[in-house]
Amino acid sequence: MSYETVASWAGSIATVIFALFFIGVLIFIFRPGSKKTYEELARLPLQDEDIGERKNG
Amino acid sequence: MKHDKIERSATLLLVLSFLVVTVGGLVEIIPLFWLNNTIERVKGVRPYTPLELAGRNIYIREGCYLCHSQMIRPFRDEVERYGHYSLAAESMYDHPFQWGSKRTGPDLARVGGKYSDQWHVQHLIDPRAVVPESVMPGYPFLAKTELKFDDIADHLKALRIVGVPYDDDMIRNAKADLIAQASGEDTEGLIKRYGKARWGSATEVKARDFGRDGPQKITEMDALVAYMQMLGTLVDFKTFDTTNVENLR
Amino acid sequence: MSIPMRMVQMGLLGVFGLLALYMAANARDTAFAVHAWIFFAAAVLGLFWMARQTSYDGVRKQGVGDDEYMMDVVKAGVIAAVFWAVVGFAMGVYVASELAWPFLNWDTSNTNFGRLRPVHTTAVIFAFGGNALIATSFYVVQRTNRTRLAFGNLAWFVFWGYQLFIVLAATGYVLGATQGREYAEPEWYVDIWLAIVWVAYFLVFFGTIVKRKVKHIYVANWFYLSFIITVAMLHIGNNLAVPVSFFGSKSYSLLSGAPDAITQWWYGHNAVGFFLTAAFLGMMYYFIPKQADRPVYSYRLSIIHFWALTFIYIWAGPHHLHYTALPDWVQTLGMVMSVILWMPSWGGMINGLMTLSGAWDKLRTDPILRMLVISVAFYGMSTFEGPMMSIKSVNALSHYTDWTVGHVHSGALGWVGMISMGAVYYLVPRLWGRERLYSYTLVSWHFWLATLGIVLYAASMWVSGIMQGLMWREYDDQGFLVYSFVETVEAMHPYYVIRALGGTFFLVGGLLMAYNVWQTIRGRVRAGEAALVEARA
Repeated sequence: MSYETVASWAGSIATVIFALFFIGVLIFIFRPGSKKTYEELARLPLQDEDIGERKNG
Repeated sequence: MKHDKIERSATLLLVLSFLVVTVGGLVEIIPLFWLNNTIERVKGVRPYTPLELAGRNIYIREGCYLCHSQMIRPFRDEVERYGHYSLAAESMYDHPFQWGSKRTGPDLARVGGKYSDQWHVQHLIDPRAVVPESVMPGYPFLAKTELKFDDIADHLKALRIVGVPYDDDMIRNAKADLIAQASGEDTEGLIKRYGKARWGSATEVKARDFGRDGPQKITEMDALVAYMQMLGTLVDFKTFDTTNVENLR
Repeated sequence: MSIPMRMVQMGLLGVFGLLALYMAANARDTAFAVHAWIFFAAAVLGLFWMARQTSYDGVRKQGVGDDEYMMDVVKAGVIAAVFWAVVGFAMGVYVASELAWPFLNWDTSNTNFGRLRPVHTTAVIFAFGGNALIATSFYVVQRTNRTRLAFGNLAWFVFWGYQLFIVLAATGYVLGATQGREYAEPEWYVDIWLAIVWVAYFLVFFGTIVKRKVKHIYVANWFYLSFIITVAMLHIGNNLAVPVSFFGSKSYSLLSGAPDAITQWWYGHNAVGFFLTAAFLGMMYYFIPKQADRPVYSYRLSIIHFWALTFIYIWAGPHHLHYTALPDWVQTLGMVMSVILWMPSWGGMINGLMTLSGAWDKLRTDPILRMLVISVAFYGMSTFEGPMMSIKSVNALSHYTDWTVGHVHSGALGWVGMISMGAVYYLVPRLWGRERLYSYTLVSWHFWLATLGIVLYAASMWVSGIMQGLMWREYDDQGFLVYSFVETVEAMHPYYVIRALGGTFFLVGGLLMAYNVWQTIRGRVRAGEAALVEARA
């Protein structure tokens, strides 16, 4: 395999991997019924965070 | 559900994000090793002589690369200002590369031979005495500091490990070659090992008292000036085959 | 900690100390000798600390259980961040002044621009930014996972080990020990030390996530985690080198020329991408919702933008090497990916800003929130500017000029600086159990000084960068270059003065923060402010 082949392949492979990966993420994020889950998750830091801090504030 | 697993498993998150961040680096960097191994060397490029190497280490130590690039881009104005654009092969023995990222001062890729040794020495000691508008720091201490080169052979050995073709002869004579180049005396061995005849360089190895402070004392100034005076002078662009340029850059 | 276990630890530390002593005795250069002595001193201090900590009657000194957060190390991190912020900003003002008034170099080996500039960059990026990240990541990972930091005192090793790294790096530059790689200047043994500390950091952070008491890992932790693992990868990959001697500081990089260049900017760009961006986005996803008391605008968007950002950032490095001797296809790929990167970056910005939708009025009354929000605005600005500058034809003009320096600083001062300082103001009263900050008026002053400083800085660098780029390529009617190089240097002078002034404004803001934090820790409230209506309860 020559350097030119390697070089020309690298760009195309990159594009394909990225497109597939990104579509995968989108499908996963917008799976049906997930809206409510995510709304709850977003509140995670706002809920009570104490595990019994006594002196360390 | 599979998706929830991805969200909730710390290990999966770890593995996935690691995979995601490695792809780009692999695709962009790995083919370059191919490049380095398969592309023909440009005639004339040689390893640094011990004195030039010591000078280069001072260049790195003082952080010169933070204000000076060593990479001429193929634009009309850059080529006219600095000389022929830089080839990848010209920095093939640069551990590390010093292409730089900022030109607070001018590019130095081809500064070799443009000014006299005397000019460099004066300029390094007091830049504004030579160029009144300059904002460069002065380096008078270089002319006063004796060059430490007891371990110069170890430097060549370390560079041989990372792939620079220093042979046993060069390593054995590293100290002698350094003294020869800085004094201009007994240069026969130096020329044999690093000279035009062996490497096909455009210019011969320069051996003389670069710092103008007598052959008895080799200073850091001698080494730095020796390095700067050879920068970009190795490839002969009169005979360089430009039809083959694309794959060299 | 059992006594035999502690003995083993102390034994190891003792061996380490003796090794350092041996290194010091055989050192080949000053920097290495000084560093060996610093290692030795650190080992001795560590032994003293361990000896004092150990309870010899076999009973634990403190009953610290898993039911309590470990906040002392966060406090230490906050103080360190404030301290290094002031040091780093001051160094920045100094090196900027060296460019405006070169006599300030004093022409000595320890004070010239080339040696001090890495001190500035290391102090702001790794010392100020790094400590802010260590402190906030330890805070956020505990509170969003509802559990104490993992591995006991290892977090303290991370903190002190990291401070040791900073001291070694900075003293090394001044003494002339440098690898000559931008933002990766520390020499081989300092790199090894940082790698050890970083592995410990990873263990503490990841271990805390693993033993979490909630089901889900909140997204802020994702960003912190990707920052920790990517920086580990970049740090090791970019610092492969062969030392000349095990008793000297000098080493030679494994790679050379073009492969070395791409490796360095793969590192350099992703130090920006993961150290200065991803990690601080983690900060944003915790502190903005907390300070605004509203959940993040879209959690979905945060996940999409997390994966897109981590994937794409890695590819963008080659835009630092446009038109160089790097193969063309790598440059083009780097450019395309950099432009695409604009989208996930703005995804983050939108998510941060829109968290305030419906509560914009809080910006008027809450100076801390104002600081956090303007940081996101600066983030949006510099992540628009970045992709633009990565376009080859724009880069042809901007590269090698002050435009790049201005770009970096609108990101570093505006985004990284402002969000960290906002987080510090959020944390200090809570960590030290104070009802409020010493003074909100001073926060407001800090906000305006810093903003004005950034504007002066960025604007002057835009002008000087574009002007110099144009002057370099200007031809006259006869086809000759109009300007010599030094004429373009001369033209920069007024802008370098303005830049130094902008930096000074930012530094004064930092000093106000240090004072405000100090007074808050002492439990004071500025006269006259106690009566004012609180910005937030």
